[in-house]
Amino acid sequence: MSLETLLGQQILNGLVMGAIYACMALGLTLIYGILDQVNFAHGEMYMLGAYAVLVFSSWLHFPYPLAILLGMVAIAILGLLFEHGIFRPLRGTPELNTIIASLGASIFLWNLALVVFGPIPQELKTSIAFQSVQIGPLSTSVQRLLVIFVSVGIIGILYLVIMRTRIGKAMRAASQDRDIAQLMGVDIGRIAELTFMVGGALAALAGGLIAPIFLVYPSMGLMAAQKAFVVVILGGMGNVLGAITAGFFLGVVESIAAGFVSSQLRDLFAFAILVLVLWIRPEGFFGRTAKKGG
Amino acid sequence: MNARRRSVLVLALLVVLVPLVLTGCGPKAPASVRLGIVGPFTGSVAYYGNLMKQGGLLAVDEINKAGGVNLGGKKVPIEAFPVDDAGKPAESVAAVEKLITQDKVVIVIGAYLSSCTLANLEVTGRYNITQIVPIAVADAITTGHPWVFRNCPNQSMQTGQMAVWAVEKSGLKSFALFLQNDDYGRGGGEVFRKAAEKAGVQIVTTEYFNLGDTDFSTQLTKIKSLNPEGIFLVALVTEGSQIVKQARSMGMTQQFFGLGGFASQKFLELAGDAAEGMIHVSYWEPDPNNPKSLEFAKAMPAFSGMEAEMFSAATYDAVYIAKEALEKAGCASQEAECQEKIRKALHAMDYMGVQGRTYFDEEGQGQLCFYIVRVQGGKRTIIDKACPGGS
Repeated sequence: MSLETLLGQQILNGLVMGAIYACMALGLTLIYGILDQVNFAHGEMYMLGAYAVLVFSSWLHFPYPLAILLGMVAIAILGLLFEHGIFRPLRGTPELNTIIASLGASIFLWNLALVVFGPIPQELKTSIAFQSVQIGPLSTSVQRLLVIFVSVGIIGILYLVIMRTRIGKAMRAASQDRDIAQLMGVDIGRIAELTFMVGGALAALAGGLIAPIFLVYPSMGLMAAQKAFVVVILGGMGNVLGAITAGFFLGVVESIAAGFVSSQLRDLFAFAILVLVLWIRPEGFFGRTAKKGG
Repeated sequence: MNARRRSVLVLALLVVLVPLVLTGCGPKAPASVRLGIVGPFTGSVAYYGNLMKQGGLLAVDEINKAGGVNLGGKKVPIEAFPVDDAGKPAESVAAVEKLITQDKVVIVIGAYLSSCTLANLEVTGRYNITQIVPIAVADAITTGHPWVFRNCPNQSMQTGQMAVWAVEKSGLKSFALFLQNDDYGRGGGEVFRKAAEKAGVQIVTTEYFNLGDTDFSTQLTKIKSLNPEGIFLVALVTEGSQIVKQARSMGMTQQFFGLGGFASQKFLELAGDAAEGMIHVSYWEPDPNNPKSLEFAKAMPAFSGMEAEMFSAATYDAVYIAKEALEKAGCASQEAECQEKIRKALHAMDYMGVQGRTYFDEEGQGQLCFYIVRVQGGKRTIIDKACPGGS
């Protein structure tokens, strides 16, 4: 394998994880940007999303695309429950309350999954998961390409919705200043519900897309959520474009660093970049310094 | 009236006192032999903990059906106390503390994880209670702990044998190491590296992953580009099965070698076709040369509904080893004198169990053979046997 091929291969590998990071981080950053609340149970939405797709696909034998769609709907509903049960009652109270409450939800859901599904990893079998594809000198699998293209597609649609539609405008307005937006007639309650549903659906999408390549197990959300937090901070807290860019950036950098420097330092790179960014540019790649000024 | 009352009183006294006096002079035979079993019955490794528990309980059930433990001519049934440690060292310490102080067990069997065992053997040491370790493999468990006996090969025994086998007997000339980034993986890699150097076999790269990682394509891409003949993989079931699957889907055809962590039905289920051809260590297999192992392979599913695996086999043997030791000691109490007798009996023991011949060295480390197996047609097939001293 030539050096160029190897580099190309590692970038391709990195894009798969990057797509997952971007999906996860997008939901997290939307919730933070619009509601100023941090959801520490985001990793569990991802984990339960993967389980939901597993249940629809392997147990109930729905076709895989339909299973993904149903999984997204299921976790969107969970997101709605989160908003009404945890985040809405605590909105306006000190930030620590939300952090503790969502951390509690995370531990609860993780243990619930342990009881319901058991600790043994499960496999989501699809006919295409491990079919390999050759793109020039690079090789990958159908499922990996699916992860990249479907997430890019969904992220693209979501970006257009946020930038071009009325509801997207309302979301952006709420993110800039909640009180003023409310005075201008934006229904903040609605926006909050929608944000959580979109966040949940995106996490479920990430979990459902990756499940056939990886395994599904109760603690799978931990690392995914940690990486998503890194991405959100890199991209600037609450910045949509930042989260998408930083997600792919982190995936590719991790892959190249592990492939060409040392794989034992893989996670170290991710968190070292985080420390560097916090040090040199604490508002993130695309962050606005003045956001919390008022 | 008065005289009659007195005679009733004397009679009553006699009824109460005579048995007391009698038991006082005879050999002390308790109503039951109390055995503690500690392991993770809940939490992330619960599946393996429950295999342990069921293996132990099967042995207890068999012994009790045959009358119990023969203590100086009197047969006494075993009462088992399984306690959950959830795979956490702190809970393991509390569990063993409870077993010793409240349940008054004579011997503690367990635990599953090395971290838990290293923590709870301090407790058995403090109370001077004998402990038999059936699963945990960390070398340090049997160094300088006179009350601890382990009836499975330790980490260096199995890694050493596997490494020697891979570099000398497989005929492959170049290897990549792919290691779990902790003591288990790094320790395993070190032993393998030494064996490879001695045999003049080349190691093209050493790659690492962390527990909980899910994407291994980066490391596998690098290994693929260097194209070694074999890959020595130190991993447990969750990560290991994903690694072999991802490697095969990338078109890699290298021979995989692994340690005892792969000897589980779960690995075969999760890795599916990708597991095919993998060569790894197993402490226990149904061995046609050992009829006891074949009987156990049948009895275990009938008793518990769980397949017989090495975790249940080792714990099953541990209970029988405890029984043998107690019978030889002729006592079953926590008293120092009795515990000393139990320890002596264990050191002198030469036991034939479902895991084959087992005896202990002066440190209490069990000397027993284990298997090198290859996955063929979705099943493990014995290809070689490694015994203490390399015979």
